[in-house]
Amino acid sequence: MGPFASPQIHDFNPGDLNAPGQPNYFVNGGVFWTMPVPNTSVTIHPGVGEAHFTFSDLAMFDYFTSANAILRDGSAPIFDATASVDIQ
Amino acid sequence: MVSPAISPGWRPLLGAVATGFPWGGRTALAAKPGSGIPSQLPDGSPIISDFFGLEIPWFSPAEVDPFTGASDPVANPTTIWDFNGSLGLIEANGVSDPNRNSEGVPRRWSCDVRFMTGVFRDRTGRTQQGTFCFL
Repeated sequence: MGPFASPQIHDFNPGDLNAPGQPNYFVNGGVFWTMPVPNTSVTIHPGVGEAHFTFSDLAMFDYFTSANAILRDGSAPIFDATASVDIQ
Repeated sequence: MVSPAISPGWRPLLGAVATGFPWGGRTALAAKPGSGIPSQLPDGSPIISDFFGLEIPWFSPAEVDPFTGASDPVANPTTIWDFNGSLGLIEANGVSDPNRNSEGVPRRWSCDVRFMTGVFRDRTGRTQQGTFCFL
């Protein structure tokens, strides 16, 4: 999934956050591979350097390759996808 | 279409949490109405930009590694500009559980996941509170 995995068969990211009506692409001013998530998705304990980040079934895209996600050159299709994260 | 799933059970190779993280040089004080849409970084990784042949407003984990302290002085681990808050970053890789993906086979995976929670200046210049994910 990641940028330099080989061979890559999936590449999940939310697109590039942009103003309504603007392309979700960083070359058009979008914020690279970034999306808003609920404030409750993050719990932080700064004193001990710990954090918990979790969300479920958020909508994003599967660009299949990082090159397709970055260049949007039509080298692969773009499918709707969802992702869930639970990291601590 | 195969329904992709990101396997749980990630093994962190690099993780960090930073707080009081001002980027953009200004400190936001209170939430007001506005677009709620942050701005992209004004610059990006020269390594990645050279690789793809265009400037991408993002820095790779290697460039912002908080453990080695070898970060490029201009590298920014956030993806939003005019931000003051807490940031978490994890770079990890592994092999998926074949019993927990729709293809039924183990697959190598890697990820760079970051959260940013705090206040930011939106595109109308208003201060907002919000939480964002880079994935």
